[in-house]
Amino acid sequence: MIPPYYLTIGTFVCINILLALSIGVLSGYAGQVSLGHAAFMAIGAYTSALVTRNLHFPFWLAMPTAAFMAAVIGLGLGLISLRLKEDFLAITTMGLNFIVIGILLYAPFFGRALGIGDIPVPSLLGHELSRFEFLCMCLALVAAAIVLLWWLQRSWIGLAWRGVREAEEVAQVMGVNTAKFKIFAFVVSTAMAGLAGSLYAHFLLFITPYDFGFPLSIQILTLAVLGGLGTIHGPVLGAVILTILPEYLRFIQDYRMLTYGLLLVFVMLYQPQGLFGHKSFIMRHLKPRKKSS
Amino acid sequence: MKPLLEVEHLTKRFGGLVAVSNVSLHLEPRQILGIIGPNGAGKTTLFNMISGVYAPTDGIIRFKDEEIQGQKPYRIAQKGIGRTFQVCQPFKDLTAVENVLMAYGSFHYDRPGCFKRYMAPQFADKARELLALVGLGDYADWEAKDLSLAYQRRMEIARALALNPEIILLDESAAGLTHEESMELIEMIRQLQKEGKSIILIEHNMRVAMEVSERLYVLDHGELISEGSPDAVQQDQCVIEAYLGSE
Amino acid sequence: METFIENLVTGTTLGSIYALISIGMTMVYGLLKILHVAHASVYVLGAFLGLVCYRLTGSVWLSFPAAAAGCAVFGYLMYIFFYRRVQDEKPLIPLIIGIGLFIAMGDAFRLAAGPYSISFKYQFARGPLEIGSFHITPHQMLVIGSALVLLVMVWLVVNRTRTGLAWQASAQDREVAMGIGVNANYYFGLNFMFGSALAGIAGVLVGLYYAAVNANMGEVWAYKVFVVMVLGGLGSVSGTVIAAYLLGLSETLIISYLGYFLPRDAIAFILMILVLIFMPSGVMGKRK
Repeated sequence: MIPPYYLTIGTFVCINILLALSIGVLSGYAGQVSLGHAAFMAIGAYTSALVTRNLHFPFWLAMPTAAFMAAVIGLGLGLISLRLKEDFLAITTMGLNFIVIGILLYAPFFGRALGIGDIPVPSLLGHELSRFEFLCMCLALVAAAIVLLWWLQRSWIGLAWRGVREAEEVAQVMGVNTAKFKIFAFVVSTAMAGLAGSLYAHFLLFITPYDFGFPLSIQILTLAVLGGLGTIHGPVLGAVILTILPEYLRFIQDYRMLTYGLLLVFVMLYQPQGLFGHKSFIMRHLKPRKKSS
Repeated sequence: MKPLLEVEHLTKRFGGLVAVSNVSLHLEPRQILGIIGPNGAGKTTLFNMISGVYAPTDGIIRFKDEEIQGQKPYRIAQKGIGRTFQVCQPFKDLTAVENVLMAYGSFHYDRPGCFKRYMAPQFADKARELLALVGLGDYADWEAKDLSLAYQRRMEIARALALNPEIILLDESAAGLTHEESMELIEMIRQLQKEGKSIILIEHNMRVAMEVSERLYVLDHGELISEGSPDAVQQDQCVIEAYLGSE
Repeated sequence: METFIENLVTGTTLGSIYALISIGMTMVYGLLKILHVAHASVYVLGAFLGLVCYRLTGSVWLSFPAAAAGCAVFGYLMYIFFYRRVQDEKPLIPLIIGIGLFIAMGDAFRLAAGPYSISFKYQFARGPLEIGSFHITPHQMLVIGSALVLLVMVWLVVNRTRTGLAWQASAQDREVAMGIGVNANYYFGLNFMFGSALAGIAGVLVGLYYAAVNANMGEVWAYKVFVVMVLGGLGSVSGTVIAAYLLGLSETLIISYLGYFLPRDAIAFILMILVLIFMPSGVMGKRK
C-alpha cells in the first residue's frame, strides 16, 4: 500500500492546485490580484466543517455548500471591485483576510482561537473514505476543475475575459459587459478556493483561524505567480513545484517566507508572465520557434 | 424620414474645462457625415459621448428614437454603433481574428450560447470574411501587435463591423495613410454605405473629408462653427479663420 | 475625564507614529502610483539600527540620525534595484514586488534577530509631566514633539524647496516634468530616501516608546498605513497626516470605551473598506 506520507503530500498538492488555479482565474481573467484568498478558503473550510458536524450534512453536500458560501462573499467582493483600481482591490482583499480571521477568532460560534475539531471523516454512500480514496476524489476534483477552466477559456466567456484583461475599456466599446464578466471570475475563483477549504477541513479534521492567515494568502499567490497567471498549466505546475520541492529541500522550511518573498520579487522582475507563462524563457525553449512576422 | 441619430445641444464639461459645448447634429440612414476642426476641438470627445465612454454633462443623443446618452458603452455597441479609435487600441496579444471575434461576441456574451467555443468555424469564418473585406485576409492569424499601424487601423474597422452596426464612427482613419491608401479607404467607406451603413468620420485629412462626406460639421474649441455641404463649408469665413488662426 | 485625557495623549502619540510612517508611503504613491508595501520593513530596520547604535554608542540621540541615514540609503537602494525597472508597468507588478520584499525582509529580520522582543529601554532624566489631571510621559513627549518638528520640516521641504516642487510637478505628469528638464528618476530616488528616513526615525521612536524592538513589529503597521493613506486621500501628504491622527485617536477611544470586540486591526480595515467604497477620494480628496 502507498505510505501515508505520500498520500498526504498528494492531497496537499491537489488542494494547492485548486488554490493556485483559483488565483489564476482571478488574475488571468479578471485581471485582479487577491492578497487575501486564504479568507475564502477559511469560509469554505468552516462552512464545510460546521454543516457536517452540527447539521449532519453528508459530505457530498457539504462541499458544494462550502463553495457556495465562499462564492457569495466572492460576489460581494466582485461588486466592490468594480469601484476600485486593481492595486486598491488587492489591499482590500488583504483587509478582508484580516476581517474574516478576526471574526473567526472572536466569535464563539466559530470556536474562537481553538477552532473547530471533531470534523467528521468524509464518507460517500455510507462508506468512510480512506486516505487513499480521499486522494482519488481530490484528483478527480482537480481534473474536473481543469476541464471546466479549459472549457471556459475556449468559450465566448473566455474571450470576454481576455478582453477584460487586455484592455478593459476597449472591450466595453466592443460590446463586452465587463462588469458581469469580472464578477463571474470572482465567483468562480472564490468558489474554487472554498472547495479547497472544504477538502482541507475534511483531511485534517481540525481547523483553527491561524491556518488561514495572511501568510497563507501570500503562499497561494506565490504558487500561481511562479507558474504564470493567465494560463491553466502555470498555476498547476507552480503548485506542484512549491508543494513538493520543500519536502526534498527540507532546510527551506526554516526560510519559507523568505523564499516565497524572494520568489515573488524575482519572478515579477524578470518573468512577470511566470516561469511557464506566455513566451517565458522556459516555454520558448520547450516549444519550437513559431514563424515570426 | 426620421434621422437615424440625433444629437441635441450636447455639452461636456470636465471640471472647469468645457470640451464640447452645445453641439447638435443629425445623421440620416445611409449618410456619410464628416466632422472636422482644429486640434483639441472636441471631436473625439463627441465620439466618446455617442459611444458611451463619457456621459454628457448636458444634452440628448437619440439613436432610432431612443435616448442613449449616459448608457454604458457595451449596450450602445450592442444596439448597433461601432467605432474606431484615434490612437489604435488593438488587443495586442490577440490575433486579428480574435480581435474581430471580441466584437462579434457581442451577439453571444449575454445569451446561453456564451459557452460555445468562440473559434468554432461558424464564427471564425465570419471574422475572416470581415478581415478580407478590409484587405487583411492574409494577416488574419497574425497577432495584432505585429501588424503595421495602417493594418491595425483596418483591423479596427473590421472589428467595428463585427458588431453589425448601423452607424460606424471612424476616428481619423486616414491619418498617416499614403494617397493610394486614402483612396482605398474612401472606396471602402462608399462600399459600406452601399451596404446600408451610415458613417460619421472625424478627419484631419481634408482631401478625404471633402471627397467622401455628404455633409460637414466644423468644430472649434468645442463649439459648432459651421455646417453644410463640403463646398459651402470650404468657403465659410469662420472655418478659414479657425484653421488659420490655430496654425 | 482623566481617562479621556489619557486617551487623547495616547491617541495623539499613536497618530504621530502613524503619520511619520505613512508620509513616506503616500509620497511614493503620489509620485509613482505604486503602493510601496515594503516601506514597513524600512521602519523595522530603523528600529533595529537605532537599537544597535544605542548599544554601541550609549547615546540615544545618535540613534536617530543613524536610523535616518541607514534607512535613507536602504530606501534608495530599494528604488534602484527593485522599483525603478518596473515603475512603468501595470501597478500590480511593483505591488507584488513590494509584498515579496516585505515578506522576505520580515523573515530576514526574524532570522537575524530572533522572533522575540529585544529590549530598548531608555530612562529619561525627567519624569512624567503632570498638570492637574493631564499626564504625559517623557516618551510620549518625545514622540509627539519629534513628530511636530518633522512634520513642519516635511511641509517646508514639499512646499518650499526645489526638490519638493519637482516632486509635485513629477506627480502631476511625469512626461511633462521630464520635458522641461526635471530628471524624474533622480527626484524619485530622493523621494524614497526622504520617506524612508522618516520611517526610520519612526522606528526608533516606537522602539523607545514600547521599550522593545521586535522582528514582527512591521506587520501591524504595514496594514495600518494603507488605511491611513486611503482615509487621507491617496498621495495627499496633508490628508495623510490628518487621517493618521484621526485613526490613532479613534482606535484608542473605541477600544477604551467599547472594548476589544474585534481585533484592533480589523477595525482599521473595516474603516478602510468603507471609505474605499463610499469615499474613493478619501477624506481630503486628491491634492491638485
